[in-house]
Amino acid sequence: MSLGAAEVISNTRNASAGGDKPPLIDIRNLRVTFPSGGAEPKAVLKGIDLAVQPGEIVGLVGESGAGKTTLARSILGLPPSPGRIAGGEVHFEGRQILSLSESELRRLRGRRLSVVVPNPRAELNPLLKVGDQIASMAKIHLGVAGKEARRMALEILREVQIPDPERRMDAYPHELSGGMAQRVVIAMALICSPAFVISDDATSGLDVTVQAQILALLAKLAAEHGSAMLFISRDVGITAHFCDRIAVLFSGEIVEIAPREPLFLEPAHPYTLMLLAAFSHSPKLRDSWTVPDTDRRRERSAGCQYADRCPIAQPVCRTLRPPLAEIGPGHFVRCYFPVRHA
Amino acid sequence: MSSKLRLLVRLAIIRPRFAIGYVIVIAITLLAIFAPVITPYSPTEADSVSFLQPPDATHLFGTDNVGMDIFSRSIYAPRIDLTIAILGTLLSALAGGSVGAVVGFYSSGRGIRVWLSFAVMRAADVLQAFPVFVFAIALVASLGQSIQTVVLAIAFVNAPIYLRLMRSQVLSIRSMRYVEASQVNGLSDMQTIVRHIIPNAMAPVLAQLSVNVGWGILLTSALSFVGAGVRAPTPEWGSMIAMGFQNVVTGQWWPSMFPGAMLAITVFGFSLVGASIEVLADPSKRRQLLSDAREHRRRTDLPVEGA
Repeated sequence: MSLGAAEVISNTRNASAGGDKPPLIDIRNLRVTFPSGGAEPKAVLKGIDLAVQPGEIVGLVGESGAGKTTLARSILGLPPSPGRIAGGEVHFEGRQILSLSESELRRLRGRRLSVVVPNPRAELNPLLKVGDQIASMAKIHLGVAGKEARRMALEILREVQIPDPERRMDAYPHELSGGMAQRVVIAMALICSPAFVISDDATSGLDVTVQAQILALLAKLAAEHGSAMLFISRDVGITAHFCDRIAVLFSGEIVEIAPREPLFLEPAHPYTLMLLAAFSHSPKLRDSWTVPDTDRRRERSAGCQYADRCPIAQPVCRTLRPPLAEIGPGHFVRCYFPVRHA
Repeated sequence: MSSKLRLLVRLAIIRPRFAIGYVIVIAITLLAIFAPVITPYSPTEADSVSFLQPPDATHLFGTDNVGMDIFSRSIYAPRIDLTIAILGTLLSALAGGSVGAVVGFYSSGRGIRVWLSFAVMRAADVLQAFPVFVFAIALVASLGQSIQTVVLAIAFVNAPIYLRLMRSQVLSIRSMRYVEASQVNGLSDMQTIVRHIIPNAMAPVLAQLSVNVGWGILLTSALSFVGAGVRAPTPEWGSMIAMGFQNVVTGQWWPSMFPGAMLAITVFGFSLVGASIEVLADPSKRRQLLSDAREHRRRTDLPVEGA
């Protein structure tokens, strides 16, 4: 997989988009492959470029199988087994972390870079009290003693607004509701005040009302702790409320990335339009952009990954991979025929 | 408290075999602990005038061919047998279990660790290919005859069982989300194994422990029976059976039969306890058991209708 010169140029521009400050985390051409039956391993992330500024919340949306979780885990150098990081760099706080040793990486995970995960109850050890599980994060990463770690755990439980935090410290995971368990997982992710938080579909499987509370809480805590966030979700609507910038991931590629207003008011990539149409109440929009998807898992070796489902695809789309091109300030689209809005 | 006691009684009624197992194990343990209080004679002193006495009021189980009281010796014997079996089993669980956890954790993927795991598993295959008893005798022969050697032999022949058991548990627990999460949270492999994997893999190991203590008693007795274990006059069931078995053909059955019966009952008891732990450790089986108990309460608490 070789990149065209034009694409390289636009990628570097993309990396520095959003201000003159150096980005907190800068993902460059990250590629992850999974072994497949054939000789050629299957590419799951096909060269991701993404930069996040300090304090910024960037949304990442895409359907299941697009590679969202793979991206979240690969940033920590832990691609889901049996995946392998085939290339690319992740610069974080001035270091290329994918080249760090395993023990240096461990000191970053959970301490400077942490992940809030979905299915919170499955993420907690069923045999340990939640207070101890939260406190152990502080013990391992900050080297504080047992008593101090418990005090910190209680404080962060209070911050995530768990009712009756003193009693919850001694609760086991099965005694918590889904919403409370999610708060515990958030507490574990935030106890060391990480600089960068990845929320990997953290609210899926919760009631809509609980979801709203958890999201508000995440945004508030990220702001208070000064953390930047990569907010991964399947729900485009949530990201509209929540994120400064939004990237749309399709089949292991970022197909469109833009600040919130341009993305929702002037979506340019046909896939983004399709996603928005699926959530839309306008039958006209839905009819024109929802296509019956046949054989959605098929991978294209050449051309645009979306060409087979795209209603406006041209012959060139099936042969040549489109570059990520800037069509407005900070608004990049990987499409030859971006949709123009009058 | 009394409701817990009532539940215990109810469980004993619906699963009598478990209750029997616990009663046997507790009774044997108490007998061994309070042996000096219970027994009328010293277990190692021979009364040379009254040898091969049949069971009667003075000698409850009779006397053996040198005049030692069989009842006293049978009560003292579990002190040796249980200690050896429990020590050996714990040792094998500790060694086999911890190696099994590490091997299971590294048994897929790439690199030298995978090859090491593979080598350990094949070594366990070789160890298990030997007949247990022959292997134990060979160990005693090469290390010298002593109680420590018997303990070591039990540990050795059982270790592969725990190795496999722990490995298979870890293989399934390793893919649990909280294990992945602990690595995302920056825990090292060893921290993950000790903190998250081993505690969650313990349930079937505990069940196996009780069954293996039973087997350990059998192996100790068997080694002593052939003269490779504990030596007379130390009271031990296997050597007692061996001492008395020439007399069985001439009609004096008691020197062998009583220790043999004690041995059989004890092993039976430990097997039943193992089976009960297996049920209690498996959440779905435990639910079934508790719902059976509720069903029993519903039936027995109903007022009796009619006359």
